[in-house]
Formats: sequence, C-alpha cells, structure tokens
Amino acid sequence: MSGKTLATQLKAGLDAPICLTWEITYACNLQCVHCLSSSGTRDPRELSTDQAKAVLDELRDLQVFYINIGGGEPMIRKDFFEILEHAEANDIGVKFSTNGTYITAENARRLAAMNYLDIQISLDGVDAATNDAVRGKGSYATAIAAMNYLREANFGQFKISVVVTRHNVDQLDAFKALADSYGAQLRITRLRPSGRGADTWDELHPTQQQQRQIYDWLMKHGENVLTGDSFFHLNAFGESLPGLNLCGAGRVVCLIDPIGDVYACPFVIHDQFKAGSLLSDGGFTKVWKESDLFLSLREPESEGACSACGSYDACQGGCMAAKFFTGIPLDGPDPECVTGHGEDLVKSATVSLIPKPSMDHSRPVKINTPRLASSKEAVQRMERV
Amino acid sequence: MASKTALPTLTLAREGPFEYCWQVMEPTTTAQASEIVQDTDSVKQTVHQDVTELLVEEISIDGMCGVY
Amino acid sequence: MSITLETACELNPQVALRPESFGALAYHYGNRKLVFLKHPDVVAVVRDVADYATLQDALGAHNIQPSRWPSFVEAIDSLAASDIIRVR
Repeated sequence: MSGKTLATQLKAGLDAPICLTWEITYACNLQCVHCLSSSGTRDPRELSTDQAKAVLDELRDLQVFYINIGGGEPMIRKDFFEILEHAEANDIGVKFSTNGTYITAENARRLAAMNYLDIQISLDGVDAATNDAVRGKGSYATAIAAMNYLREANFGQFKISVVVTRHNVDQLDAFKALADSYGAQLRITRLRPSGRGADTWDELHPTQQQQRQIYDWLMKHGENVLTGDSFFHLNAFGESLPGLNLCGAGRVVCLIDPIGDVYACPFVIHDQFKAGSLLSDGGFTKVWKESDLFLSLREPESEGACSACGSYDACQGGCMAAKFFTGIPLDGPDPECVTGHGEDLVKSATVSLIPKPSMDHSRPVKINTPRLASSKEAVQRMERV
Repeated sequence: MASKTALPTLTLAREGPFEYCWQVMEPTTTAQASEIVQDTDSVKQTVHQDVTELLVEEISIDGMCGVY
Repeated sequence: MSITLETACELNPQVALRPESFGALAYHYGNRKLVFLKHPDVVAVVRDVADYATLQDALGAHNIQPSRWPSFVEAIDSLAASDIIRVR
C-alpha cells in the first residue's frame, strides 16, 4: 500500500506488541554477575496470581500470540505452573527462560505434557569454570541436569541461551556442538550494561576484535542459531545479519516487570524508559497505545552524531540500553560501535553521571572470582548492598 | 537459505533514499517490469519478470530485539 | 508441490490472523512461524480461500486484477511452504 519496508512500518509501532518479555518475579536463587534485572530478592509488590492471570487475559484480547517469561528465576513462583496453564488455555504461546534449578524429573514431565511451550536454559560457558565464574558455583551442573531431565522426558526441542562475553567468545563452536548433542537450538545474545551488567561490563564485554569474530561466526555458522536480533550493531561490518535488524523497544516489544510496570525493554529498567503501570486505569493496553514514552519511540529517529557515518543505515546507531548505561547520549554511537566511534565516549563519560538502575533486588553476595571481586564497580556494589 | 518455495526473509536493513523497486507497488498501476528502475547499489534482489509485489514477509518469532 | 492458480487452498486452522493497519499478522501456533501479510487484498484472499474451488476463483471473487495474479501465486506458495496455507 504505502510501499514502505516492513522495518519502517514496524518502527512506527503496532496496535499491540508482536512479542513481549514478562518478568514474573525479581526473586532468584542465583546471583549472576551480569543480571540485567538486578534480581535476587522478591519485591513485596509482586503481582498476585489473579493479577497475573488478568495480564494474560488482556494479552489474549490484544492477540499477543507469544510471550517470553523470565525474572529473576520464574520457576521460583509457587504459581508458576498455574500461570503457564492459564497462558496455554488462552492460546498464548510461552517461552520461559530458566537457570534450570527447578526443572526436576517430575517437572520436566509436566512441562513436556504442555502445548505451545518453549524452554530456554541459560548457560554462559561450555564448562563449569567459564560458566560458573559468571553464574555462580554449581550453576553449570544445574543447567546440564535440567537439559538431561528435559531430554529424558521427551520434551522435544528446547533452547540454550548464551550471553556472549569476552570469556566465552572462543566457545561458540563448542556451544553449537553442545546444543546439537541435545537436539537443542542454540541462541546467543548480546551482553548489555544493564542491571548488574553495568558493574562487570568493562571486564566482560567483547573486545572490538571479538565483535568481528562474533559477526564472522554468525555469518558463517549462524543459519540455525537464534540471536534475538541483538547483534544488529554489528551490521556495519558488512552484509546484514538475519532478523528485523531494528530496536523493537516500545514499537513491537516491551517489558512487563514483576510489579506491573511497563518498560521499553528488559534492558532499560530505569525511570527514563518506564512507560507506565498496567495497574493504572486502562491497563496494559492503554500504556502500550498511549504512553508518552512509547509514542516518542515510535517517532522517526534522527541520526544525530552518527549522521556523518555511512554505516548508520546498517547499524541504526546500535542499542539504546548500551548507550544509556555507559553514559553515551542516545543519539550518539553505540559503545561497541564497530568503527570505534563509541569507545572514546565510554572512556570519557563521567562515572558519577552514568545512570544506575531504578531498582536493585540483588542479595548480598560473595563474588568468588578474584578478578571480578577486585573491580572498582564490584567493590562499590558490595558497599551499596 | 532462500529457495524457490521458501519465504523471502527480511535481510536488508538499508533504507536509503531509494525504495526497492519490488516493494513500491500501487495495485492499480500499469507499470511493467521494464519501467521499474533498479536501485543500482543493491546486489541482493531477485527480480522476477512478472512478479512485482512482495505481499508476504516472514520474520522469526525470535527476530525482534528487546526480548529475552 | 507448488501452488498454482488451479490449486484448491485453505488457511490452516492452526493459524491466527491479527489485523494491522497495512494488512495482517499471521501466526502459526504449531510451528511458531510469523508472517506479515503486507496488503489488505492478500489478507482478504487468505481468509476465505477455502470457500473457492481454486485459487483463481478466490482472486476473481476479490476483484484482484490478473496482472497481479503472479504476485499472489508466489505469496500463497510462500505461505504454503510455511504451512500457513494448505492444499485441500
């Protein structure tokens, strides 16, 4: 009709999300050093079971076909299966992300019996040393055990989701082999400096050279590998990666957090990216359709400081969250801009002015990796907690 | 990845000053394939002589940035 | 087998259609395929193609000009490859 590309039309937003993330709890039994939601302790304002079901009813009415449930650790909620079953009964497909702790043999069988269900096991290393340095002692074994139970229960294909860091970039082939051995689908996603990720960003985020490595690997081996479209900032290297290659926040996706607040995406849990609360009059629908934040995100974006760079069409200026939490202006380059335009800005950002997450549900924790424990940011976190 | 019967997936992120010819279609035009000017920068298009509208486009449910 | 104008088609009952300003979003519950139907005409055809003996009959009933039929055949063929459209 209008001749616009699909990407252009989606950037202007739709009347309902295509897909969204719903973090159902801030409680978690782990304390991953890069947790995007700074999870750990349950928030006393957490939505009740009835409120959760009402959210699903509203999503059904909006014809949101598929949601991603996470947290914290979603299976910690006592009503976890009740929520899943309510989604299934309302024809809402669910993918949930889990560290696997609560996937027992019995739960695996229960999950295998459900329809429209995808499971995503989080894993950040192909061996315990690499994984547990980030996710905590024993977490690798837990994840593998969960995968084994799913296999024994004939769950079918599940996903293994990896946050790519400086320390696991060389393991991409091994991750693929691991996924293949379970008949699972590999997913690799970008680390953002969100939540606790801000504290470990300097140590964990891939180097410029490693970014090239990720791009090359995806172009060569990534045909059946999911990415959540999280690497479109790497498109400036050349041919675009598969996917929509655009920031969906506030346009086709958003986050519902455990207390019913609606944010542009899970990587920007901060007041500046909060669209509203679904507990207000008009519920989630009104927030999605009418909030000032989302309406402004659906306006055409300006290239800003990137206008002189020929790569902007490919990289779209990168990720809002990555810029926001490293202190770079939102119309500036991505901190991991492949041409290097972002690196200097990160270095020169005034640390005291860099935004901090609006909430922190972290539990006091001992960081058992000597290098990370000694970083300045980690020490500051320990003092805050 | 693309085969004759597979859906064309959106692999082009570029939105330059040119609209890609096979996406700019008003249904009532009498434009023939030969009248359509190719974007010379693009090397990736497949242009069929008698197919002038891209009516469907598949995206992956995982292909949107901003979800887990 | 490719879709032709003579094929009898139907919308897979596992597919939901969600109207959008430019057309519709089609989602297949079984295989998670997500497809944008980018023009209201293709949405109209897909919705009731099962009511017609052939695809050509459906196109005619929706007043689709013959010059556009190749585009529609290709679109329906793509949808069939994703199991969104089935051959009856």
